[in-house]
Amino acid sequence: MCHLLSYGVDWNMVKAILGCPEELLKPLTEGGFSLLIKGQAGTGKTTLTLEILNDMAKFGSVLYISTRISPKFLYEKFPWIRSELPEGCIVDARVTRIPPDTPENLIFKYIDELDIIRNIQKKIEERREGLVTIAIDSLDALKINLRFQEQNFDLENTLVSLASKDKVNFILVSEKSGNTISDYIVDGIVTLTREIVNDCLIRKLYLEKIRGTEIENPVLLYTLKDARFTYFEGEPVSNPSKFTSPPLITSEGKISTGIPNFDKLFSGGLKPEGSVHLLEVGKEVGSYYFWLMYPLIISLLRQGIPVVYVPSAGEAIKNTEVWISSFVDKGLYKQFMKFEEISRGVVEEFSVPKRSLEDAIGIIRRIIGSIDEIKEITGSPVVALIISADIVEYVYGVDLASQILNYLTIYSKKENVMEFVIVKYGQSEIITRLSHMTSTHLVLENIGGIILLRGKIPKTGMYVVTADTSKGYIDTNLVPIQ
Amino acid sequence: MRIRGLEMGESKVYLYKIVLLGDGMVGKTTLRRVFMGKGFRDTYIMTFGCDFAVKDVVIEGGIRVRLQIWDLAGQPSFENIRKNYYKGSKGALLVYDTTRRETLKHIPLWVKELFSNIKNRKIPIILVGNKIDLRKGKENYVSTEEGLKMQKELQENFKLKVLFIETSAKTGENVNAAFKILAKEILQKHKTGY
Repeated sequence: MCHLLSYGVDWNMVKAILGCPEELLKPLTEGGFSLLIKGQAGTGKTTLTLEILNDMAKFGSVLYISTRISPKFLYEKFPWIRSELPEGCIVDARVTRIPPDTPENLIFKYIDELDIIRNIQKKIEERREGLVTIAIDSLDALKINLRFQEQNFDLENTLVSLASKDKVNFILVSEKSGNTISDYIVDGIVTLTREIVNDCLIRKLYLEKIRGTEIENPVLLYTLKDARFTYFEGEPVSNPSKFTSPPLITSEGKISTGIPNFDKLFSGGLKPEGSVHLLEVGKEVGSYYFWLMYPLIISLLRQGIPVVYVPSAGEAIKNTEVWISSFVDKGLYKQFMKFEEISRGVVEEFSVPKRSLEDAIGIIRRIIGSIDEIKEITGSPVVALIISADIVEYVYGVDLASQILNYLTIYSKKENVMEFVIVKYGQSEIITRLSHMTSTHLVLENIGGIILLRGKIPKTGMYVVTADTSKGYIDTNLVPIQ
Repeated sequence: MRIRGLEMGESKVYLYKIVLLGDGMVGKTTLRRVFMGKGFRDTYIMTFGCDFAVKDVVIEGGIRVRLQIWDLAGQPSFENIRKNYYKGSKGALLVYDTTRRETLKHIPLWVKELFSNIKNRKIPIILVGNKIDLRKGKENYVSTEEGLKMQKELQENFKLKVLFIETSAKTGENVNAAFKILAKEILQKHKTGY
């Protein structure tokens, strides 16, 4: 068995991690830590707070003081908190009219800030095993709820000193952005933001300050999918310890890409007929797009669809061969997979010789010949053609390359070829010329080291492309940013 | 003969392309749908050109066979497209409608077309009488005996083994069996050679 890692060690794999980021959890597990979570409405402050409490419940007792929403609504919106945050852990601290049927112990009765401190202290004394983590969501609402603001009582300061003295963790949620007095007092600050990039929603967590630690990754991308906090992190590629066959995903009436959410972008799967799909590989995405292409090719082969593959400029074909053939039967791979190298003997030369129209026709003939040949060998009426446009442009120049790709696109639609054109950053001319003929136009881009996919045709939101080999195969997933 | 075995871990999977043949509206698409496990839909969507599905079946002895099902359009206007899709098929389900006698009469024409497009390779075929749930109460339906007679005729005229089964895509009766029997036949033929 060969080692996959010797092929392409320099790549990353993005992982989706559910729950509170490690950087925040670590100081909290030591106790006596006060954390301020800032962000505007809808950025997921409550979700993150509940995730922290969910994780901290393993280290002791937790308390969630809700000043804005009723516990009933919280359980409805976040059903997953039930096991770690049973009813006694959530305190209804809304000063709105108290419903008569609410159990007495769930309501914090307070008339001023001192009352709150007394109540919190009581709770701390009641629950003295392990660590105590108390979240106030939100500080602003609590202050507004109180009618005695003119008392000039410093709630934050008192809580923070309580934290250090009694080894209690405090999580304070604030809707105020910008620097506030609290920033200097608390031990840690995170800010949650939502941004619109290319008409798509992006969520970012900024680790502004963690007392006592140097922040390595100050920005984390996250999603609030399924009312949970999931963040993304890049990791070096790991070699699967054993090779297993990926689960066969089939799609009714369609050909599956092997990646469930990827199928959705093609409205349920690829149609077994001529079609053209454009994949734009953005700046600094590097070879990450292989984590989409490998599972796609593997899935096509396993469903009996032959693949003609035109590798990219400088792509080590050996890598591609090993990463695909390791998960597909050898006999099938031999028959159903065909490499068509345009770059053979070209890339090594220092200058690319000028190519004529005849040369371009020659390469078109070669590719079409390969398609016909593989159709004949396998008996499959439908063939997938994966073509890296960068090598075509490199060898033939923009004009000839456009003509070649144009011709192949028309040919594909007519002759039952599912064509995937991979276009790299900077090939804007080819993108413009091809984009009006494509059934799908997808874009991969790098935001903060995380690789995201979005659809231009059809228009979609952002998906983080995660990849994992721990199950023994390439498990690529598209996680929507919600 | 080409061997398409996928060896992964401890289990071996065989991949075969099969085709569904028969007149329009006999229920080919529904048979495939029911076999794939999506249930029966009352509205019939005319198959455009072809449709595609992949499903693994486990036959006796724990052997896994992966069927790549190409559902060919019965509509005559697609004749040109159709020819392309016979290539490389390893087995066929010939479907007729037990409530419409003419669909049974056309079966020999379908067999002829199939064999002329695959260079007379004698691939296993199964004759499927579909829509038996609709037979009840109907007077002029196609009986099981008529189906058996067609099976015999095909065996004699084309000199090959033909199996016969009656199905209902609506109730699901015998649908899985039809595909399983075909998978078994293909595997047997594959092992003994064409």
